[in-house]
Amino acid sequence: MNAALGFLASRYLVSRRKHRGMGSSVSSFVGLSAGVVVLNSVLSVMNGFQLTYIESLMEVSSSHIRWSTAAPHQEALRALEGVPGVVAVLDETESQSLVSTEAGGERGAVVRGFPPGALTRDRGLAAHLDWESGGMPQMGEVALGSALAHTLGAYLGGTVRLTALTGAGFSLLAPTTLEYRLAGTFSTGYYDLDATWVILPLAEALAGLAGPQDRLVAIKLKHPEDASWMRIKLAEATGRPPGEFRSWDEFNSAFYGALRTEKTSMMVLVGLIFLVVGANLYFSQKRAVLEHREDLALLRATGTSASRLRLVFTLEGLTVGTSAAVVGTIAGWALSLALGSLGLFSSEAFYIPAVPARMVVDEVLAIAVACIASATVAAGLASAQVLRVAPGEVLKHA
Amino acid sequence: MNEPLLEFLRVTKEFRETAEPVVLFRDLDFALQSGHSVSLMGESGTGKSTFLQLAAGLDTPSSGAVLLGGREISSLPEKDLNELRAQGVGLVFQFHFLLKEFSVLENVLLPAWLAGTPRVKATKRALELLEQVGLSARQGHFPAQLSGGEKQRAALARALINDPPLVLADEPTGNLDERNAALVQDLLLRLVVDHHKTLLLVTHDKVFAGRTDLSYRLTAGKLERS
Repeated sequence: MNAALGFLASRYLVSRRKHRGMGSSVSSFVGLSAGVVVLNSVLSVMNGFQLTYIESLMEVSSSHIRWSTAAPHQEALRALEGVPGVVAVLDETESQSLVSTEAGGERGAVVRGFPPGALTRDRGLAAHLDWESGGMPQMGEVALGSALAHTLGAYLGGTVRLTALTGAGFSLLAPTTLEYRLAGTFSTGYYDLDATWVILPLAEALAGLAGPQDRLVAIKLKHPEDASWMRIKLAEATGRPPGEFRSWDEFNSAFYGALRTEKTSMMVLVGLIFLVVGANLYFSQKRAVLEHREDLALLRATGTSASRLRLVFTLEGLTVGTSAAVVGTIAGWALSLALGSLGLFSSEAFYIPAVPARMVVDEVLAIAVACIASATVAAGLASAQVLRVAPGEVLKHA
Repeated sequence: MNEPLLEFLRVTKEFRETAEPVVLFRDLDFALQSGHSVSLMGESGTGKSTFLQLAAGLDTPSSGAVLLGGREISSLPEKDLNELRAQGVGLVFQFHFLLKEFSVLENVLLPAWLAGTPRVKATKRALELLEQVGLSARQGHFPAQLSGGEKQRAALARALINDPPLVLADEPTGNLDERNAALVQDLLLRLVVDHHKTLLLVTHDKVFAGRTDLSYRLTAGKLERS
């Protein structure tokens, strides 16, 4: 393509804008920009929520890899710590219990037993446990998720009772109730965890509430995205079947699958705007070709090929699409940033301190490409009208 | 004698859109020598403009061959035909067909620029031609700001921008008043001589036709010297 075609395209574009004000190219630009803004901001907020949840789940609940084992040997734990890429290995328990307080509240809860020094050994866990009051429980103490504490009317230093069925074998199961002093309340940023979690020292959990079947080893990796294949390495290091090791995405697959489906559906629905604007651009470009048929006839008569003239109109679509993608991306990014600070949602009602927004480069690029492609393809298809201009006929009968 | 620049060999042109085909001309022979100016007259509807379009490669004969510079136009591939239209012929129509979004200078230089001539070179030649047609002062104006005569003079300059050997003019003064028509006629004939061009002119004006080297009349599908 030579510069002359670009010159022709730009002059047609500017001239149409000048002569018609809010012309079709401008309305297409506005429509496409709006689509890019909406898609970017909606997806960034969805990403914000999703990644916050995913990180909370990954760092606090599922870990990067979870090894379910009845009684982990110290040698096995040391072997795991020696695998390159592993940053933390914690011997824990996870069991269920009924939790109640002096205030009379009663709730079902998940009791996690953490070993001493868990927060210093696992930085990811420490970073995602936000202590609203107090801190990690010592022997005889318990910590509650902030929402659970609120529901139960628990207060720092007060008594918390945990009741669980314990006993070797189904016929010997009997309820056991143990009392602890509330040492702290925490928040993970994920409501389901904050409303159901109870933290005990590992020794306390093993002593009264958790059985061998509740033991697990939580493993953190330097690169969580490598969890799928790191499972195999960990299995090799411990001599155990790989099936005992579950990666974070596998462990939470139903939840992540639902998030992915939600996001894809949203992209498709909002992305329909590109189809609508593309159709608008298609018809406006067809009209533009018709309006310029005498010019086109003359240019063809003076030796410019139909395919090169088609490029003139396709270029217009490319220009509109690219400008809309750039402006929409910048505006979408600004809106995403603003959403976090606008205080649109009550943090108490929606359990979020602020609207989290995170733009993912791959998605931003995909949206921009979809925007540019829809405009360019629409204009390119419409430019086929150039082929219908018979220069001889037009110039003879003008 | 030299090989003609433009040659029609047993050219037939008929239109089959209607149930009864309309034959404009049948087995027509015509030759135009390089450097000559020839006018073509005839009543409306006799096929003068079609004749010109066949010469320009804008239409194809139903049978026979049209040769330009010894090459048969109708059998040329699209790429070569475009090149021939760009470099081989300069077209002037009854209507100016200037692009309204472009200045006079841009209108004149565009065919050269689009044909691959660097913009600087095309601009230089366009400015020279605009000076020759007396529109130097109007180079930055847009077609809407020109008179009818000025538009046609700009179209003359545009026809010569690629320095084609053959100029085809289809009633170039048909839309002009007497004074402007005379001005454009003088200019066209002078430019053809100055630039050593060959001219095929379609006109209804007997005086204008009389100023060319040869004059033909197209009547009932036949070419007659007049």
